[in-house]
Amino acid sequence: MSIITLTADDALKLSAQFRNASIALGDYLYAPENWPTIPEKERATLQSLEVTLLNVASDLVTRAVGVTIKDAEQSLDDLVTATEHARDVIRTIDNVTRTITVVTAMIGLAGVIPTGNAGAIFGALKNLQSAVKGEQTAKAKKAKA
Amino acid sequence: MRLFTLCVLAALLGGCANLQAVREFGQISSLSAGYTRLSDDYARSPLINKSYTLEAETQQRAVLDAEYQQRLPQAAQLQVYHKVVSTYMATLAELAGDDIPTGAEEVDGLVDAAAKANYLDAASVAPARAIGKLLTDATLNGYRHRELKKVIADGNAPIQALLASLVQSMQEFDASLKIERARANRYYRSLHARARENNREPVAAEQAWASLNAANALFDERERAIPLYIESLKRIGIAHQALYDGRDDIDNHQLLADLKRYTKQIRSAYYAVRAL
Repeated sequence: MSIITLTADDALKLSAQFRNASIALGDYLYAPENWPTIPEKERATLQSLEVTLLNVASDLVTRAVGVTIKDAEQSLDDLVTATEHARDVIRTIDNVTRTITVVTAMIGLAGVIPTGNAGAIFGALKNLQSAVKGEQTAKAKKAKA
Repeated sequence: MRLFTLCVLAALLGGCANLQAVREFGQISSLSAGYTRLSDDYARSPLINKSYTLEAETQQRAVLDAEYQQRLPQAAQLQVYHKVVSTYMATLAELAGDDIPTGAEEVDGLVDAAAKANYLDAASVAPARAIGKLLTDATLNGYRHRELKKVIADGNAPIQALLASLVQSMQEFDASLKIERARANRYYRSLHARARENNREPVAAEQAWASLNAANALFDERERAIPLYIESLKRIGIAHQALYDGRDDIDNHQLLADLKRYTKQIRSAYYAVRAL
């Protein structure tokens, strides 16, 4: 267990991850080959997640600097790595429902970082890692089939 | 006798020329540090982002209003940084010209008011107060050229801290601007996709596409300004550090040559930012 204090650089790094995830989601959603095939309800969900990712990215810039996470069970690198993996998964979307799961887990993590609550952050991180792994496994299975 | 007079005159002129280098450094640094457009844009960014929301996204506009409120104290803090650094640099220029500093006394009050309103973060209060007090002393005690060394000596540590805070703020603005671009892209791409679907509204699709490209061209320019401005601030810090290190031999030719070079770089970066 350790104490993590988010520096301004840390907050900017995490913010960039969430912004890039939002852009990746938009790249998928608005692509001419995808947009017409996505049902209206799922479009609305993806658009809402897209803007929420930008909100949390902005919130990290505005509010997260100086946040202290006491008794942290993860390092800052764990947070960055998990968000990087999530962004990579979003970039290679082939299943909208599972992507919504990954993005929702990402937003869950971003929402608790500014609180500094170690337990909540650890739980949200595990949830994100699990969602990413699920998507990666599903893609691997599909590739083999 | 005539030769002696010429020598004295030449020495005096030489001295003036040396002071001119410090004066020019202070003047252009004051202008550059006092440039607030980028900081103003950072504070207003959530309001700009409201124009990139779809009509039905009422809740999102409320989120952005709340974010704007959170940024107001940051905006006030940035204004204090700009004012303190800019006035300090103007004071250096005045002292180098053997003028009594003017307009410096208001800085102390400004810092005091900002600290009381909790607009300054803990790391910035002490350096901002130190510069405020230094400038008040310079004004009230009628500092002139002979006190230049004292001001540089006492001012170096706090001014470096404030410049570092300004640089950090600009990096945050860079992140904020990239998010603003992403919001604009999301908005126009959404309009474009809807209008283009089944060739529903081809003219509207073309308009949305043109707006997207125009917005991105503007973002390209604004994003170019930030690293230039950061470079200008960093050069001010490097030049002041050089002055501090060489304060006991301020007429040193190498020091003055370096200072002229830094001044040229600061001027060039500042004008490039202004042109964007």
